[in-house]
Amino acid sequence: MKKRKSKVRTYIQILFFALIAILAVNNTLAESDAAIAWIPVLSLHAICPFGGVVTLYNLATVGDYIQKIHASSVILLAISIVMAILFGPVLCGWICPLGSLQEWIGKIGKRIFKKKYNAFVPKKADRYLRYIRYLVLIWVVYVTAKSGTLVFKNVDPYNALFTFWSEEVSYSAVLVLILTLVGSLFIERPWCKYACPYGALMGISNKFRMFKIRRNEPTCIHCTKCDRACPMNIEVSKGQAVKNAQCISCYECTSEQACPIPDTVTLSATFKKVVAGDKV
Amino acid sequence: MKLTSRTMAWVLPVILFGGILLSQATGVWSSDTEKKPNRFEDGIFAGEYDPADIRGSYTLMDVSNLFEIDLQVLIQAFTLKNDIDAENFQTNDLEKYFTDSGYEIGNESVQVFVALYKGLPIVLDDAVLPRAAVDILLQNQSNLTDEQRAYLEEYGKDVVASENPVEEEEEESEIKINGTTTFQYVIDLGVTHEEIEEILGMKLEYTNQAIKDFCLDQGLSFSTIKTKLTEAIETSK
Repeated sequence: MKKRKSKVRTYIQILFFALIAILAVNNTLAESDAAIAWIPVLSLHAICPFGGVVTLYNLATVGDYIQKIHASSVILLAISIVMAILFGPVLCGWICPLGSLQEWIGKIGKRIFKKKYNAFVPKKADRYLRYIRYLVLIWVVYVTAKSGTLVFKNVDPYNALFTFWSEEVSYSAVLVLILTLVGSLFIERPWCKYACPYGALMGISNKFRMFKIRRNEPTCIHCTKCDRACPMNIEVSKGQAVKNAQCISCYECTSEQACPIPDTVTLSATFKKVVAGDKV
Repeated sequence: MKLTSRTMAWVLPVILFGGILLSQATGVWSSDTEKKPNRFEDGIFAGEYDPADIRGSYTLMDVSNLFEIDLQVLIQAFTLKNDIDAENFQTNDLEKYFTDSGYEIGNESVQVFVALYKGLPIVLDDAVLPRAAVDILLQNQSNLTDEQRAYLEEYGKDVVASENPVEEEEEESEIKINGTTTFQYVIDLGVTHEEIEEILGMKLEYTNQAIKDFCLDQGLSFSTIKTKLTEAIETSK
């Protein structure tokens, strides 16, 4: 009998996508005094935790947030760091609307390209390309710190996704968004893999998070279904605990989804010492 | 200990929204720029709002509420119509109504009027006031100094707000330094760090700071610095 896969993450993704979209639309309506009264008026910048990252230097040096950024961004950053320490970059895998949209478009790509999907980039090139997001992170933090302005919004596809109907959006950001969405037809989560500075930062938590994706070697049948299911192309079957910085805690590799053996790939915390060399 | 996706589905929203609610309950959460000017930190006016920090985005209603000035006084001072939408009329909007007069009457004029009306300190520079505003000040403020009276005499002009505001046509090359412009923006336009320090008359440590905030912190006239920096940008072209 075919195993029923859990859809719970998809529901959460839809919920957060809808929530951010509604807030973004209401913010636009507020500009013409037509906001829906029972929905809070919040700018996209106010609910973006990455704004908290880029304003930290300004806060430390001149004691103020950069333009358009408020305390809410720093609070959301703090909350997402707590979540990352516990569960890894769950914000990327469960909450980020841009990640969700890439994933949903990727489902079309999977239907078109079948097994070739998400395997277009040669492994060697892919390995080096994944360092780009760290360069993006360093660049964004540097230029924002130097200028005191939100430079990244001019290329930010997340911002473009929820402001493309307003005058605030820049053409370059829309272009990056289009490239990201078209790229999602060939590669799963291309923005997350290669360019997202926030993902780069959150991904570091995979090295020390409390709850990790773990594989139970004695029950594993080495079918590598977990490897093929991973949207970030991590070889889960090669170790006992996933410590790869690209893991987004999406559960796709687990026994709830791809793994055919119960309780073999799980998200779990263990106090047993992991033997050196066991990480993936 | 294992966590299923079902568990995660309630744990994540609880942490996220719980964190937000906690920060709101403790008063830390802020998702908007509060329309509150800086307060004087010392001296006899310590704790009072600083009129020099009235931003161009503040509405007449904001100014009225923050400085406890009757809205009608502001409307009369700037010769506006009684039925003006004070909740949406920003102090910067005044410029559109006085374009025809040939004088620049805008946010800085409001700053000066509010300061003198409330007897609060302000650096008097070159902000022009309509004669109606001057008359209100002279009638209501007996504590004006000779210097302030002389200023009002010189910068009070016989002008009234136009019935039809003139919409500004934005020129692409126009340089505009406003309340959120940083020093780095000026540097990017070709003015050197040293030239900026010369204009400021002091060391500038961080270029990521908004010029207006720096001026307020250091007790400098934003208007003067803005003019000098704009000139420096023009020269550097």
